[in-house]
Amino acid sequence: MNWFRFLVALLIAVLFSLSPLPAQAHKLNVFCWTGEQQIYGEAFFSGGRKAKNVPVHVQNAESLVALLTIQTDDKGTFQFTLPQQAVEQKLDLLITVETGDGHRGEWLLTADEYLPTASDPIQTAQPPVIKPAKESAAESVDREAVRAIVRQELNRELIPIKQHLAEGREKKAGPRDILGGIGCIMGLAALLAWFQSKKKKKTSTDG
Amino acid sequence: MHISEGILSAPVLISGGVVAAIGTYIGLKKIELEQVMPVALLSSAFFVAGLIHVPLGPGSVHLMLIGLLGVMLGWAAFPAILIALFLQTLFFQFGGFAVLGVNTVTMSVPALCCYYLTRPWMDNPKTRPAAAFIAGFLAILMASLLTSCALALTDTGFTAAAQLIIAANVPVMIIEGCITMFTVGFIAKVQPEILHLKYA
Repeated sequence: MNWFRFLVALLIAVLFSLSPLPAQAHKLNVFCWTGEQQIYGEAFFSGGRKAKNVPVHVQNAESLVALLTIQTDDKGTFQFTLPQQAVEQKLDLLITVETGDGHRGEWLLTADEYLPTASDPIQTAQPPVIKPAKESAAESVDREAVRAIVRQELNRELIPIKQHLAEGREKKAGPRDILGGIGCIMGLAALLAWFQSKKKKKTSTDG
Repeated sequence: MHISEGILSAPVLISGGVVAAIGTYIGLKKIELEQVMPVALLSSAFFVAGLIHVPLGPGSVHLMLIGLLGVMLGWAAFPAILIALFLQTLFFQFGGFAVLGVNTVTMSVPALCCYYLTRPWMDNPKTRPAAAFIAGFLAILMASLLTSCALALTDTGFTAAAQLIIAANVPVMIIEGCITMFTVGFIAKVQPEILHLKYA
């Protein structure tokens, strides 16, 4: 009877602890998204707490050479201008945040993501425009200027969408993970109990 | 308290792995058939407790229940914590597989120390609540210090890391002290043989 009460109490405790779901996890998340020549990012723990005033290292993802170091602000966000070297050499960037107490998060920002012009569909797949024989210089300049303005505006509009997309990549722990974990532990316990009982039986028959 | 992957140096990781393996071996040897279920239940509790975020203090912290595991399981806390940490890494991406050994040591050694330190006062019902509170409190403090040591052995300064971790974990120390006190009191009433008490 006592054993039963103990089990019920523990079961209630476990069910009670499941209530603050989803994802009160304890992991440092780093997310980055791109703007016009700027990289924006944020660092926070899965419980929602921001990683404030902690260093952010921007490295070459291949050689791990540091390119620059900045800090998060009071909202856990950061932004930096793309290093010239990274743009010229089309480097993939590894952005890491360390809180100093053993937590570390990272984000890989590939060159394709921050160099929109390199894979700009407008530029690479230009529709065949039949140009008039004598296009004035002013007209072509205007076209470039309009394109730049549109790109700038689009970038600005897309920043929150990119932020949501980046945050959507966070793997959240759900009831399935929790119950799966508990099931694993119980399975292992059953295995151990089986071995123990076999051993006990063997020693009792030997004796 | 879970140290993330990519922070510690290889010698620290290897040493942690070796100590965790020895502790787990001894712990497994000491588990009797009757103790299998309590070990599994407390391992499950540790596994789930990691998801309970404590929104107090300067850092991002969660419950761990290592004092409770230590008091109730002794050496068996090693395998219980190792399995739970492995599953936390697998399901919640806490810590990392390479740091599993170090994280097991930083949490199991305090559990074991609390077991031996508070054991003499557990038998007496008068001193039991205080002993259980101290076990819960001390386990988190010791785990914070051990985590700081592991970080200091790599490159972070011990004092800086210890200040950060201890300051963040003060609310957890108090909460875990209370949880351990009430849980031990409850188990001593309903199932004293789990605690191997001389008299309840």
